Amino acid sequence: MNDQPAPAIETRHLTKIFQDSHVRAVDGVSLEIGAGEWVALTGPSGSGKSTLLHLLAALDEPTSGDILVNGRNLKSYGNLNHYRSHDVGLIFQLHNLLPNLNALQNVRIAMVGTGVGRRESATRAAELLASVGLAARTKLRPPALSGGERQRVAIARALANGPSILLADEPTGSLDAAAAESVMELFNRIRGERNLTILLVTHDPLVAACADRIIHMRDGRLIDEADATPAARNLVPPWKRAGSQGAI
Amino acid sequence: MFFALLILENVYTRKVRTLLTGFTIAVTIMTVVAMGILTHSLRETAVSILRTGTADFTIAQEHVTDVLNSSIDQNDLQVIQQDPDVKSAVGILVEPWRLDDDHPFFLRIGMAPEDTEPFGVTLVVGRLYAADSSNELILGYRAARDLDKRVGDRLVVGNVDYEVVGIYSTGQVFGDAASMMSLVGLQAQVRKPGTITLAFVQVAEGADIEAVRARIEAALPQLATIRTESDFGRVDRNLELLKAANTGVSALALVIGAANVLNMMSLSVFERTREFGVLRSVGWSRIRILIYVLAEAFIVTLAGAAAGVALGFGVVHFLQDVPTLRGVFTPTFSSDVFTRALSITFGMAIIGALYPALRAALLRPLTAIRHE
Ligand SMILES: Nc1ncnc2c1ncn2[C@@H]1O[C@H](COP(=O)(O)OP(=O)(O)O)[C@@H](O)[C@H]1O
Ligand SMILES: [Mg+2]
Repeated sequence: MNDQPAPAIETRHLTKIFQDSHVRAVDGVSLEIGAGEWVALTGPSGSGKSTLLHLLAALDEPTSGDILVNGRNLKSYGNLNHYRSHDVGLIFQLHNLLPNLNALQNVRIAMVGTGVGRRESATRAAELLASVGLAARTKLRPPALSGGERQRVAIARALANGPSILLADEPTGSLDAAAAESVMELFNRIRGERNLTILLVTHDPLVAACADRIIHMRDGRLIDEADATPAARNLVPPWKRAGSQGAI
Repeated sequence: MFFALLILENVYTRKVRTLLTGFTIAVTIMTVVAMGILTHSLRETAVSILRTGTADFTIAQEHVTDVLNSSIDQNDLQVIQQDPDVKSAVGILVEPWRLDDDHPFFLRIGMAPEDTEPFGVTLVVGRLYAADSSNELILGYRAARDLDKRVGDRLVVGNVDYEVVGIYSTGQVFGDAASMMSLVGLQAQVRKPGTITLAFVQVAEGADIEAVRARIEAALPQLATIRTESDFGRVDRNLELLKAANTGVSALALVIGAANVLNMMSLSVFERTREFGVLRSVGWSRIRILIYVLAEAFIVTLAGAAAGVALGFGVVHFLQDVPTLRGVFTPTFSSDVFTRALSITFGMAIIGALYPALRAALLRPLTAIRHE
């Protein structure tokens, strides 16, 4: 990891102020995530975690500051479509699959317009679904899949164009403990297979515990771990704590 | 292409709405096609009367509702014939008659026998009628075939029992479905002595046709000369009204169709706000989203229009058998009608879908994803 020339993700004084609410959702955040590193981002609700992730995914524009991904500043991109499709994979709490399309098609939408041929796109989508354990479910639509299965489809889609970075916003937030655990196992496996850099937002200390490093946010700023731990603990829903045996 | 499949999937997913919009578009295009064919055919029928033969232009009474109501004094014909640049001026009397339900608009054309040849009438079998006969006629070959008449057979028109003395051809559907007979005989029969319906003028070699027209219209202001199709409106108000109605129908079809497409696509885009956000988040460009939405509208509109054209043909077929139109209305299918229908179809799709498609394309990905 240390011989990588540039961090996978670097932000410099990154700030996002929402004009309508005057909220400094992200307030001067500078952070570095090394290539292949798995970082968990925790913090109370409203602390700016999702906003930070959206900025990194180029779904929103920072008010000020810089984002460098694999050494390249996002401001230097003419359009961010290629960045969104190839450089980062996105996973949300709500799976964000298209309900009318089956699992295979939901993975394939990420390859539309990327120059991947029709056959290649179908084959690759099937392989990805097989690798997340859904080989037998490719023809099912989201309503016919369980929460955990949907999240696996979303993971397969995020990996469609071989990004080096996965950004996940509470990917286990709507899953039960068992499903959450197996999704975490999946993250761990694909990370090993693909040498992925992962930034994962979570409320769940057990999920956070899977990461190499945990960073904490409060009021849009990164704070020291020591200050944050008790607060973060308080926010963990009891049903999650009681049910799980440990995430891995 | 997977992209194309996705578009079809969207069309298919919203079956009921798609069908309703497609149906509305089908009905509007059906109306455009039927009305277009009707107008075009009636115009062709009317214009073909004026276009018969080898004349440089035709003369009729100005401002009549129907060209067959035109009435010209034969003395006027003489005035025309005296113009030094007029080589010939042939007058004919045209009288429609209801033979039976199947032939509600059978035409008798009165014409001097010596005028038939320059006029473009070719005798196929038999002979011409005598100049002063009151009960001889020649039948256009279509009429003969249709009425199952041969030379020597008899045909009652009005209260005259005619003998069919010959069969002719003019090379025009309208003329070939009519009959011709002595001008004076017909004038006496319908009590219009000295009156003709139309005059066909041939100008001397090298003479200025427009100058001749101008002189005639100056000398005989109650008459109109018709050289091109656009002159035709001056002698047939009905057709002008029909043309105006046809234009109105097209405009209305465009508005109704576009409003329906707009409604369908606005709903579709609104419901799928989240979908566009997801697609943008996986890297789809704005242009692709635009095409994605427009294509959906085009598929529905084109499918509806295709059904509409088929329905239009059905309506035309049906109109042929409507008693008041039978015989008058011989459908002629001009490509103009289809060009117009196609333009209207594209117009509907573009006008209706552009705004929703732009909205979808310009959505900010995050706003779209957050949309519930
Ligand atoms: N689109 C928006 N407009 C205005 N304020 C927003 C918007 N999105 C988030 N915020 C505000 O920014 C802050 C951080 O929100 P968020 O990043 O969603 O926090 P978290 O994911 O940590 O719960 C909150 O105060 C929230 O109300
Ligand atoms: Mg959040």
